[in-house]
Amino acid sequence: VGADLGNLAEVREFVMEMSSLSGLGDTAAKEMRLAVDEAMANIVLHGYRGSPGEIEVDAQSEPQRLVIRLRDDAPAYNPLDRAAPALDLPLEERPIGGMGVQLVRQSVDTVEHRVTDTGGNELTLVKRRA
Amino acid sequence: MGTAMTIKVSQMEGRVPVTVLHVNGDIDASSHQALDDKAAELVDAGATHLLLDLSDVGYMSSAGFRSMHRIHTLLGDGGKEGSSALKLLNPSDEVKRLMKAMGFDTYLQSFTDLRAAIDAF
Repeated sequence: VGADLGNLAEVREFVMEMSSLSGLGDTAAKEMRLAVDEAMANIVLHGYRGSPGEIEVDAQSEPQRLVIRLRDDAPAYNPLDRAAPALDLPLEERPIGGMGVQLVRQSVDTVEHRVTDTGGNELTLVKRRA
Repeated sequence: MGTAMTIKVSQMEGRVPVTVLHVNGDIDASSHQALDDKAAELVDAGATHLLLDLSDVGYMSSAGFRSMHRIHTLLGDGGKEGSSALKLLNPSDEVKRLMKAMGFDTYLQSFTDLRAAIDAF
């Protein structure tokens, strides 16, 4: 899909379909949907930074788990390097934002980033069947 | 496909006047700006207490939490007994779970009944 926030809804729909096909329960499917949506928004905003580009969304249903990979050609950028937000502070004292990556981490079983052979990024999100 | 987000505004009277924002659709990175803008516009026009009606929101990402955080910061603690002047109506189970995970549930109250929500301001 094009690296455009307007395509988030379509990708969320795709994740829900794949989750259903691979037998994830409703809660797990919604967690995977959130993780992919947050990760893709991150690629558009912090990877491509608004310039046009492509994001490949690849889903593999394996016997015990659903694996979704997001590949892009944006400059190498590891979202997982971002510091965790201070969730224990009152809202007034917290900086606004920085929650997306935290939600990705919390919503899937594993998430890994690697720089591809062509210098782009690949983010692998894994959700195990309960 | 997710539905495009729309916002309807209505006014309710409780202990204080409460402005209700009925959001319909998904709140994500592509749509949250409209919610930020609408809330800022209402606050500029004098609104001091906002109820965010999430009954018709099927999906909300961290962008929605960012919006709520921003609106809470704009309004402050003008609710009853020092509670936030932003409250929520009918968040989904998923949103409630995320509120807890993000530590928002301590600061923003959620209600399932409109009258109870208005009376809590």
